[in-house]
Amino acid sequence: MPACIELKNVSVVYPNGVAALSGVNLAIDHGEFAFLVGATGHGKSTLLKLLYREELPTEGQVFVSGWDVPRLSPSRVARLRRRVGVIFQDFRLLPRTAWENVAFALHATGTPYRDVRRRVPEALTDVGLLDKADDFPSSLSSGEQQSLAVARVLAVRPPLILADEPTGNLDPASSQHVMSLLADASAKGATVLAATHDPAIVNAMRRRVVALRSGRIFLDTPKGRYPDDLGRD
Amino acid sequence: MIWDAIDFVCREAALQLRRERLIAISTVSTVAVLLVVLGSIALFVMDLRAWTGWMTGQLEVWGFFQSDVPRADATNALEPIADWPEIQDVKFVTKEEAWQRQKQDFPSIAKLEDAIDNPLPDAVRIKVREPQYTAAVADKLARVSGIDAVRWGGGLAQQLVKFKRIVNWVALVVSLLVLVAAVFIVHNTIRLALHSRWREIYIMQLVGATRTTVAGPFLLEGTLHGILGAALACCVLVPAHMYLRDLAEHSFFPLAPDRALLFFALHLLLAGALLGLTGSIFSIRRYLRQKPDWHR
Ligand SMILES: Nc1ncnc2c1ncn2[C@@H]1O[C@H](COP(=O)(O)OP(=O)(O)OP(=O)(O)O)[C@@H](O)[C@H]1O
Ligand SMILES: [Mg+2]
Repeated sequence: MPACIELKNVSVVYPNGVAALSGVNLAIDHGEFAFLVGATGHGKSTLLKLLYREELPTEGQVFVSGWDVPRLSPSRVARLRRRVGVIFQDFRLLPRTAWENVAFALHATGTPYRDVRRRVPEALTDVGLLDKADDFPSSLSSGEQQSLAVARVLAVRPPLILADEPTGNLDPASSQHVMSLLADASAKGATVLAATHDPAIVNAMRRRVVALRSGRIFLDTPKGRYPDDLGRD
Repeated sequence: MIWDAIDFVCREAALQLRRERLIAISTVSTVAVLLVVLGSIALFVMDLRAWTGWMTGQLEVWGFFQSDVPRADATNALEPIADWPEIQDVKFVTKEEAWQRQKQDFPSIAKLEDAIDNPLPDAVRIKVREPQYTAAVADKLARVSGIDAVRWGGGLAQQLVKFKRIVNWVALVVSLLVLVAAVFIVHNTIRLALHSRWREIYIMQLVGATRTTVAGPFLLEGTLHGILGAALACCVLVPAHMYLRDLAEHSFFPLAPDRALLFFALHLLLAGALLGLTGSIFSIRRYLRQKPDWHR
């Protein structure tokens, strides 16, 4: 079976000339839980964007479950994204109520209506947002918006979860809770790749840690800790 | 599965219709205004057609028999005429009938009734199907044996033919121009309206919605807006035309009948639906393919 995520010699150069990733090789197996760490602007989000095809590699190959991601047709891209739940760094919520945000993701992934009605409140309850089900993102705090983004992904139960700083706006207790939700999903078989800046979480969970510096992987340890020196340059 | 998809499209469209009032108002009113213009042209053409049709009905070709032709020979001569393809109606008018009519129309003649003999010949009256046939029919009729003289509207028929042709062409060209402009304007209106939803469209695709799933509700919404605009245009045009028809009823200018208006209204609704649908298709394609500028 192919690895869940496989990057082969991947480089990304943005149109403005910034080399966000250079020669990255990475393989993550099905069911693995890995942290992606690195200083601000060192390529974490870029790496994740390659995996759900928001960005294309300038060089190298990107595979998700064996699918050659940059070469997918538009309809295949939609199928890929239904299997990849992304918690976006900037949330990317629809200008609709919390309930409708979760419901839309479920519809888009082909969930039948009776299941939607059951799974939306479940997911909102998981992140403690059930009483805000009818609120619009514009009237939610940043932390609440982030929790909603988490709920949207968890409701769908995708086999691969990409979390881009999923706890960046949360208090420590809520952060731990969201991380335990992701760990639960992982325990049920999902592969999780989470970018984070939070040493407390990384050190508490002792999972695989992949560290980026200037767009290169400089550290990849199983059951790792948050690196003391991210090596800003 | 398919029902879920249909259900989804309808719910999404309903949600958008409720939320996006401004978009609805701008699209609906644009379509309405454009269809009032287009519809006026169509009605004008319909009325002109009705009028030329009526004028054509008035076009008659008369043939007069020599006075020494026996009546049996005259009616025999008429038989093949009934089979001419250009004609709508042929009628033998005896000189007695003609004389009777003459006396009715001109009572002064009636007084002379006994004083003079009926001076009129037996005649044949032909109504042609289309004005352009008149000259040919008159020509043919003159060559029928026993026919002495032929009389017809000459110049008027020719002018009607020309007039009809010009009207058809002008109407075609003008409505095509207006139609192209309408598609363009509606497309632009919807494009501007969708611009504010560009991010939304993009996010929908990020969470796994196919292009069809994303586009479906927008297309349904656009179609409904188009139909609504067309309905508004109908509400303006139909009563206006009925009013004008009432005014014109006693004049020489008969307008298209009210039952033609039903037909017209259905076509206008169809045009509105197509306008909304094509406008949405053209507009959404671009937003489906491009990434929005996130920080504007
Ligand atoms: N769309 C873009 N166009 C041009 N340059 C970009 C774009 N996105 C990111 N970059 C650049 O690429 C580099 C890596 O960005 P990236 O977003 O991957 O960093 P990051 O590790 O996620 O940072 P953070 O921790 O702040 O989220 C940065 O130098 C950034 O300026
Ligand atoms: Mg980032």
